[in-house]
Amino acid sequence: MELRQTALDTRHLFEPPAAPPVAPAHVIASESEALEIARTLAGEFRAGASDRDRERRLPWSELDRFSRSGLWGITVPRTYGGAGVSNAVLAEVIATISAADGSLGQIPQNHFYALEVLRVGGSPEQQQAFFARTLAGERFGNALAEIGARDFQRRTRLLREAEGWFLEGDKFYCTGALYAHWIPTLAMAEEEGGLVSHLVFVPREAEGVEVVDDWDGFGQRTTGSGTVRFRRVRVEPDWVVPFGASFERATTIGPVAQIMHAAIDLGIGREAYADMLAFVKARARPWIDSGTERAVDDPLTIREVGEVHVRLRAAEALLRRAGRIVDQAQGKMTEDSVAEASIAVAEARIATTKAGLLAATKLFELSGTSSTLAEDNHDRHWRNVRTHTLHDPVRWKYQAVGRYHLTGKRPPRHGAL
Amino acid sequence: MTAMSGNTPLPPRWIGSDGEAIEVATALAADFAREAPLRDRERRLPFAEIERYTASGLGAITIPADHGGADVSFVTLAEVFAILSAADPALGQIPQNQFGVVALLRDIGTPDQKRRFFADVLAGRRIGNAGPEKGGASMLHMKTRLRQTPEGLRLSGRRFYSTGALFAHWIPTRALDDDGKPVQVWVRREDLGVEVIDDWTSFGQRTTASGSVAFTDVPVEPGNVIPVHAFADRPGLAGPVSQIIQAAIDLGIARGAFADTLAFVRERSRPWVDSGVERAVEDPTIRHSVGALATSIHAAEAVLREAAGVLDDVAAEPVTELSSARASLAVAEAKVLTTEAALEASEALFDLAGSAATRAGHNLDRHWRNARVHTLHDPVRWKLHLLGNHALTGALPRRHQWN
Repeated sequence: MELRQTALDTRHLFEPPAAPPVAPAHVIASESEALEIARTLAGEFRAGASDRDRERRLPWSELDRFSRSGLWGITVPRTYGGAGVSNAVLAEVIATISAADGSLGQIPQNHFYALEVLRVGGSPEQQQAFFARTLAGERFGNALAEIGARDFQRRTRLLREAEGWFLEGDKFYCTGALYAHWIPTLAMAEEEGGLVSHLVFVPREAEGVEVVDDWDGFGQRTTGSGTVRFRRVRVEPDWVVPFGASFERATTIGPVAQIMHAAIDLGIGREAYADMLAFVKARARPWIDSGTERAVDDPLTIREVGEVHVRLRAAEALLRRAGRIVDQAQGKMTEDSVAEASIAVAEARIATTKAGLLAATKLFELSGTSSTLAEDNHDRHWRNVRTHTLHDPVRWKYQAVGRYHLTGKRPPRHGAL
Repeated sequence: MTAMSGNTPLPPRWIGSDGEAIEVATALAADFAREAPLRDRERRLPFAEIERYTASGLGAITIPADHGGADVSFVTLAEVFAILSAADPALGQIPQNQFGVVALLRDIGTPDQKRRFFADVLAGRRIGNAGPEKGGASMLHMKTRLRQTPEGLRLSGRRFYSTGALFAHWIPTRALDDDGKPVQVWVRREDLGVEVIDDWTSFGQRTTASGSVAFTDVPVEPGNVIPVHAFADRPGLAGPVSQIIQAAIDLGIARGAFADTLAFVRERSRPWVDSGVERAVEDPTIRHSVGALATSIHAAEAVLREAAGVLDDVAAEPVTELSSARASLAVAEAKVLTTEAALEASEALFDLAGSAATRAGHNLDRHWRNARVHTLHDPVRWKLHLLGNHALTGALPRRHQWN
């Protein structure tokens, strides 16, 4: 049981940047191809997932395989040479990979988020440049959140000075940054009328960018969701996408971000359910009061399996439904269509949160104490889903959904809705 | 392997009343709480803490008064377990089998066994157990054997789930005798042929060391065998006593998780961006969830207390089939609620405290890991079943060590 050591000894070491892609990534042409490749990759990733979690071994080679597969380019619009897949397919791809390895499923979440920001708010030149890089196999991470203050003010600054533009600040929860070629970074700039937010696409190898492998949460352990520091990092105006505009008007950035979070939790839940079925079939002993010879014949176990199954199915269906509604909102972005998409995705997230946690805990209830031993590392599912479902509080999803249905009030516009 | 049992224990404090037991437990819990997260993280076995526990006298509080013990009520016993388990549920669980075995001795021990073993407990010797075997097709599958040989009785076999054995002076275990009948056999931790193996690798209750004990031709004195088969049909309280302790441990875990939730939300959590409030404690959704948790924990606590009261009533008279069933039904209700409360509180902690609470330095996931693992002691779905069956048809719960 070496899995929960205290502080990581790499805490103060800066990680070297990812190597640029050695060869262009495969370009995926259709939704069915995307799903097929995701299933194949998931099969490969599943084998080492438990060891990677246990040893907190960063999945560098898996990510290179993942990038080369072309899956990181599937949301690039068709006009830019991508497959422009629907949101339901995007969600299914994420869920499929997350089932095999929850961390690997989450690492591209911010990449797809950045692509949506570009699609909605980037200039044609930015879209051209970054979509092409994406199809070539480059990865985007993120540096959005900050910690250290009990508010949600962003203190990272974009400084526009005579000798150039500079970025200064500290970020945390930077999932994907460790593995990225570009780090889309949320920064505030002084403009007429006050502070305005921007998303700055910073090259990972730029001078002054420090990525620290200090993510020590008990779940999603290999996402590398730790610190990024910007020490007077020189940035080009071409890399700056206005971000305030993304939420001043109604856009699908929030719903697209959230549908992927829901997909990650669904995927983890599915895997916990699959592990539970395998354990109950092959290894669980029947309870003495059940009077049955095999654990699979215990009527109360059967009942609980049905319960977990139907919760996961409901979550899956809500996720697909949300995907269709987000597709419509992307097609025609209005206040109402985006509000409807946000609410549909919030409903899906409520369901995937509950179903994911339920599957992860029932795994043990139905398998028994012998399923808790270290060799199986089955607790990684709960640790992963518990950690990831905290991305933003689900209790406020209920608020948004309840208020919308009670009063018709549209939900707040931000990345968490 | 630390040879603990070779040490001659110092005479423990003598606890004279229920109130004193609660006071001693409260003080000890404050001591145990300080390093509980560290012990879990490093899986540092609590040898020193167990010595302090024994020295406190708490291990002997259920010894009958005519044998010199305080004979505290089950209400007190349950509260003592909950208090210690809130601080460190692994430490809380380690003595559980001592109390189960003392209850069994009261029911069916010979006068000589009671005299010797109760005196040992009062003198500070600890009783562990060698639990169910691993890998058999059923829970009751047993390969452990007590054989009559020309040299005397010999015990052989390998058991798992042996909570407390590593820290014990005495290790009672179940075995089949030459007639294939179940007996309870007591051997000393340091007897030749007894090997306690620290191979408990579960993700929860990590420092209970609930691993293997191997017996290889261990010589057994005839006076240290309890023919449990002879009492199989006699109604007793062994099952309910074991269950009330399990439920109390889970209540303790729930209380510990809830206390950590309140502290984190008050001191560290930031208010969610949509809440429009300055401090997390003002978030109406957090208040609502905290209210729900408090209610669920208090309900579990109240039902557990009443169940312990039922055990006290039942134990005051000769136990009958009906009164034993009454005790099993009462503790089943408590067990359902304490299981739910422990799992809910330890999982909701993070919903309310947020992502920052998942960082390794806090080690707050230990609450869920402990709750999840400990509540698997026996399946709670079958507790609901026995309650439902009784309500529907009047059927009495089956009598065994888990009811």
